[in-house]
Amino acid sequence: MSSPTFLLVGFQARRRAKARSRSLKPWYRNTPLVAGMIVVGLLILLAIFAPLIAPYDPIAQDLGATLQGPSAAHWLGTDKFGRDVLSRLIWGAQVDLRVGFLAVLIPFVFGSILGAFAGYFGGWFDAIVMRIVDVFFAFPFLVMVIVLVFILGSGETSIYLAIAAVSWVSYVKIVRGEVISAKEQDYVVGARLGGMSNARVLFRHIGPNVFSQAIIYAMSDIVMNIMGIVTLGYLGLGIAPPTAEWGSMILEGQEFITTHWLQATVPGLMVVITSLGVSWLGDGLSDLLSPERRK
Amino acid sequence: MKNRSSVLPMTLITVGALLLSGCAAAGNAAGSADRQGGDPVAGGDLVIARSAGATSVDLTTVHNNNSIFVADQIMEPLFMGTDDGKEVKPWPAEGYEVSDDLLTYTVTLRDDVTFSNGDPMTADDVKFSIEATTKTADTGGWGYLNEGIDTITVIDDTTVQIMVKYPWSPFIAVLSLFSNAIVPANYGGVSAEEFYEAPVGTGPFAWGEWKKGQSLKLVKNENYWQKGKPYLDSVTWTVVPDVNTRKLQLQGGQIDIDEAPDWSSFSSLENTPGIVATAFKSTLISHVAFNQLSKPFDDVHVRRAIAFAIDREALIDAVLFGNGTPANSLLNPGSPYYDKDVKGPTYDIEKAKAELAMSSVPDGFSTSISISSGNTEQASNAQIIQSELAEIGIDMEIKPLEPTATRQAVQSGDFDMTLTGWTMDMPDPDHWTTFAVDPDGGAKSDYTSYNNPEVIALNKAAQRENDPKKRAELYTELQQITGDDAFLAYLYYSPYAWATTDKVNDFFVTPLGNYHLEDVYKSE
Repeated sequence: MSSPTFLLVGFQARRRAKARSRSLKPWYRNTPLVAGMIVVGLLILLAIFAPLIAPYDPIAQDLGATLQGPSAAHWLGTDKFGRDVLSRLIWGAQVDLRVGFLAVLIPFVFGSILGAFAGYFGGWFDAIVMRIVDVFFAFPFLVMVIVLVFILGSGETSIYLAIAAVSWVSYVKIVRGEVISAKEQDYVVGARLGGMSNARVLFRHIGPNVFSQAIIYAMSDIVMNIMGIVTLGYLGLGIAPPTAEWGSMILEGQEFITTHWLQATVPGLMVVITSLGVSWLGDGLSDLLSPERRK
Repeated sequence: MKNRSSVLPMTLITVGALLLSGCAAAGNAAGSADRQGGDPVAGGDLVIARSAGATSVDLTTVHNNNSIFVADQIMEPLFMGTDDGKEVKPWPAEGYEVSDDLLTYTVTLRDDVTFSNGDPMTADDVKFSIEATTKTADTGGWGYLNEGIDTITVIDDTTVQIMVKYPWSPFIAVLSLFSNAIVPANYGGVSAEEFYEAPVGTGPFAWGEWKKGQSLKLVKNENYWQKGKPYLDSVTWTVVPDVNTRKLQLQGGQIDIDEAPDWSSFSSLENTPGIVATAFKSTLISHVAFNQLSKPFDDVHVRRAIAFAIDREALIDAVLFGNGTPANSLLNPGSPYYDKDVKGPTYDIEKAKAELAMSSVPDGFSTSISISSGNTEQASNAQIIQSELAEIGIDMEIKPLEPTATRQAVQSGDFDMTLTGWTMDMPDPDHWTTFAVDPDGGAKSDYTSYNNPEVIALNKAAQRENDPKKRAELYTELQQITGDDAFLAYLYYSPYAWATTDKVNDFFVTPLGNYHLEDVYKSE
């Protein structure tokens, strides 16, 4: 459960190290990118086609067939309500991936634009924005999300709102820093001297060079979001039951860790695989989109 | 009562989680068998692991069992519930006499009882303690349960005369309540806050050391009035939130007792060599509560439809792993005046559909159930009930909230349905029935806003009826009407689950949930 600050620092350090050793290879030779695309792609397909792939209704209870071990009928057995664990796992991908990916959008757009303005114009606007950002950074990501979900009540909408309210600050920091350094570059100075409007300079000239960093960071953010929703589910504060969701599956399976260990460990494994896949994708994109490469 | 959940002067227990409760059915013979061991061995530290620690040792105000069952090892009331939880016996008292008009009780104290600091317990201490408790009525303590007490007069060192305001049957049971435990008069000369930092009482154990949130240790009271007891040198309660960790610690011998094994591992513990898993008979009842201020729960047909639609056997199998019996009454079989012949709603899907058809919402409706997040038993019950109600056309959303938030929502009437429970704290049904059916009983009828004048009158009459037979008739009628009104949908009676190592002897939990550690000893 690292905070975004921690991730951010690690991410920037990693990016700097990579920049030095980067080579210009075609995208399909970019191993992390390809591996990430395969893993994430498969998971997305699983989520989209869950109604076709899952062998059972994920919420249909069969109280006469509870806590069964793996069998031909139920590959991963059944949970304490007699629901098919495999079907719940597949349907769970839908919820967790949806929240993970969609919850990135609002903070990405809002944070990037605010960061770009703050970096470009500087002055009192920058000072105010950055003080607000500092306040948000002072709290660990999950703590803030959990507090907000308490306040807003559980449910998917409040999870989106809570994540958005907390994670926009990272994009402000990233984009602002990139804009500040880009601002001094010759091509920007040239554009401004040429009489272009601020908006044009910012979005046509600086934008393409700095937003890629925000996109790369968004990949780590997706991992954070998935961790966030899984943690909320595990705490019983996420998507309301009986909807299948990995975190609540871990919670419900934990009781049986010594007797039916598949129930808690398999959803946990799915979280790990998903996070790994998205992280690879992020690494690969970082290779692909970095300004160094495009020179 | 104890419960873990309530802030108000009463106790609603969140079902489940904390008190694993008990069982009824079988009740299980363990209790009596365990109490006859060989010769007790003196010495040793008994380590009890629990999911959550004590929060306070002030018995006049604290509402959670995790605190009460520790503090009542230090401070004892004058009377004590019997092991079957149905009667009261004198404890540091010799006995009592009551006048013919049932208004004056004369209580005689034992003359050999001292506090753990060596000072004798006298009538002055008794008067002070009970009056101090009564005063907490206005500040959220247990004092409201003493409301029938009029005056307390010290006759001599070992005699106290207590006048009650009206003939009041539960009185001696009220004196057996932990909140009326005896402390030194004027707290021995310090303020109440200072006193409860290291309380002194007549109980088998005396104050030791408290590391809040981690462990609480009590040491043997060398001056205990039951000569030769306690056998143990000390008792330590440690907080181990994770149930699997507690299980491993018990198997490894780091702890002697696990206060709350879960039902899913209970049968495997029963079969583990060196471990004794016991389901002690309890007074716990679990139920669904309907908020009658929230439509359509003001309609008795809606409530009955839901009460008929719940398959209690299925809940017991899936959630308690068979350790329970379906509930038929507001009272638990462990309570006096429980009537097994009362017919509360039981599972009958056809009747459920018929009731719903007669109701204001014949085509079904959408509603919600508020539960505490992280409470496995509640979450499981809610999911099963959700799928059962779907069959009669009721769409019930599950609203898990952080436990404090759930409690606040329920207490402020901001809910549709919720899952709660109750265990008795004293061997008299009045404690619970007044809370549950009397809107003026402190909790708007268990927060349901249930208000049936006939039931309220029955409860008041039973409170003042001194003939046990007539009282039983009144309570039977009360149980029948409340069942027909379905103001709660009773789910099940369940026992208290406990696990100990086989070195722990004579450990016994009463149906009220407390335990007598003065009887316990450890063998090698």
